[in-house]
Amino acid sequence: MYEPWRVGVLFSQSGNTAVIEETQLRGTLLAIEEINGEGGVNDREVIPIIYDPASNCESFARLADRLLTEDGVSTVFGCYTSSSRKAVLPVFERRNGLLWYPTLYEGFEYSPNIIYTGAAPNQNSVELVDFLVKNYGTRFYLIGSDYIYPRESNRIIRELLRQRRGEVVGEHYLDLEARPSEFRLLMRDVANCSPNVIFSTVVGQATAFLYQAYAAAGFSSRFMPIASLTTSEAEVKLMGSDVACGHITAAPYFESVNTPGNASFVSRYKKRFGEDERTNLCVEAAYFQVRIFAKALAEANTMDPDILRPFVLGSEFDAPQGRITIDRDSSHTSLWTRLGRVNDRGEFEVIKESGQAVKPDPYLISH
Amino acid sequence: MIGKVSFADMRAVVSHPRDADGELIIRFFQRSEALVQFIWPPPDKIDKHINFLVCLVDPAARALLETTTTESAVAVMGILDPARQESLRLLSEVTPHSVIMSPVAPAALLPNVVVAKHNAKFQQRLNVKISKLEETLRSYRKVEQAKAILMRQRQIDEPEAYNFLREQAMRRRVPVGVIASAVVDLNEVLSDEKK
Repeated sequence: MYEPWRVGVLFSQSGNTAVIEETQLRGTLLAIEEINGEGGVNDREVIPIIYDPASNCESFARLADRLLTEDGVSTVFGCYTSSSRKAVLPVFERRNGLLWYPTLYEGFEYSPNIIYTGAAPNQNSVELVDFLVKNYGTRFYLIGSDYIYPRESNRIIRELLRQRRGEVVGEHYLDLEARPSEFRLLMRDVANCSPNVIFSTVVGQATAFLYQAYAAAGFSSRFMPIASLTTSEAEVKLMGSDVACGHITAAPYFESVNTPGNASFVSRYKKRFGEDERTNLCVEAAYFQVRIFAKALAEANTMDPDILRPFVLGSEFDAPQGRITIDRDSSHTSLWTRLGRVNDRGEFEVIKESGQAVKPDPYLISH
Repeated sequence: MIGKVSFADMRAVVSHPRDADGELIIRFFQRSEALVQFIWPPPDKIDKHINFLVCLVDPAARALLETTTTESAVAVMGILDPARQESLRLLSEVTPHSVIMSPVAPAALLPNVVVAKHNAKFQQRLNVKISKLEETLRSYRKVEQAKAILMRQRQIDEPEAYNFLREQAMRRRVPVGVIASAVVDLNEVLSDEKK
């Protein structure tokens, strides 16, 4: 083999969002190992340089800069929270790097230096709000972690609700480090407001505290479910199946999706990381974005972002969720819209899905 | 990077009198494998395939400096004679991507070429980003107008109006802004007819 291709990897392996970011790291590594197992890209191995930003935005910015300058890489796979993405964005724009971001987020962003492979609001929130209003009612109680994504996401939810003649009956933000007792206290206010839906934008390990507090308060998911865009198989595992049962998440991918490629993907993942490990929307995006990168790299045969990027835009891939496309106009990805409800085994049962990938509309121009 | 440097992808024009500075600059580019040509007196424009310009900051080169520094596809490095008042004034008006004082110190060339190249590229990326965002704003406005027209004329609510626009865009495989513009334009034509 010739000199390897070096890429950067930035996912937290410690701190409060490590529970999900570690799964993104695994998805990334699985793809890289498979690519190398198949002979690399144009006979050159892909070597990841991995740092742990420890769920800290300043570390994200510092390590991104180190990757692009000292380590001399130009492509980086990384970031979960919007605040970490916002922290590294100026670094990538100034140094002309390419960041691959495998996480759903609140939209309203475009950078020529980012490839967005997670869902934009039109690919998850819109369908979810429609479904909830139709099946449970129009009174929403919003609970989120206190940072950019939950506040921005809720601004959109509020607007979508207004269009559908719904109302926000309560809105509350808790620290990313919030303790279980704070969530238990909050459940009293929820009971007083009697909403039809709790809409959660709580992320990381605190997700488990919310659902556990809900269960302890004796609420029923049949009448007042918790709906979320971020509660995935990883968080369900953390809180326990009994606690998660009946709650609803909108995502492009669940471990249970029935597509030609998914069964094999799930078994390769378990074989590599253990039978107990479960795939989720973030694993899947982290995986397929490396695959798309490798495809584009094989054609461009250079890591120079100005040359590589045109090969990425417009490219299609049969991902575990189904066929997806990197959108030329927006640098976001056409993804499938799915709604899943947790069953008593802790698996998401798909209760609604789009017949094809949905074009990203990150600025919600047509919603 | 410093020491062994190659600008093999560079197509440069040096618009500078063929004096000691001029010769020094030409030799620098030839050593670094760039394609380079001398053009003096300065032309008003340079070929589209040129991506680097070295230009004496001189009133005779005003037109060239103005066009190249506003269309940022080319990186511009200025050579400045600080003794001349009119050159200093011109410098503040055209602001090249980097600038070197005359007489040119050989060691000043490499860092200033690198900085000019990077500054021009960064500016270019920001311009791409800005035009994308402006395009987004324009379609936003059109879609809002089209939505209002549809709601009024068809007695439908907001989500239904948006749905209509999205479905039409998807069926015709065009951006939703294009459909919205068509609705707005057609509505104008029709309301003109009524008058």
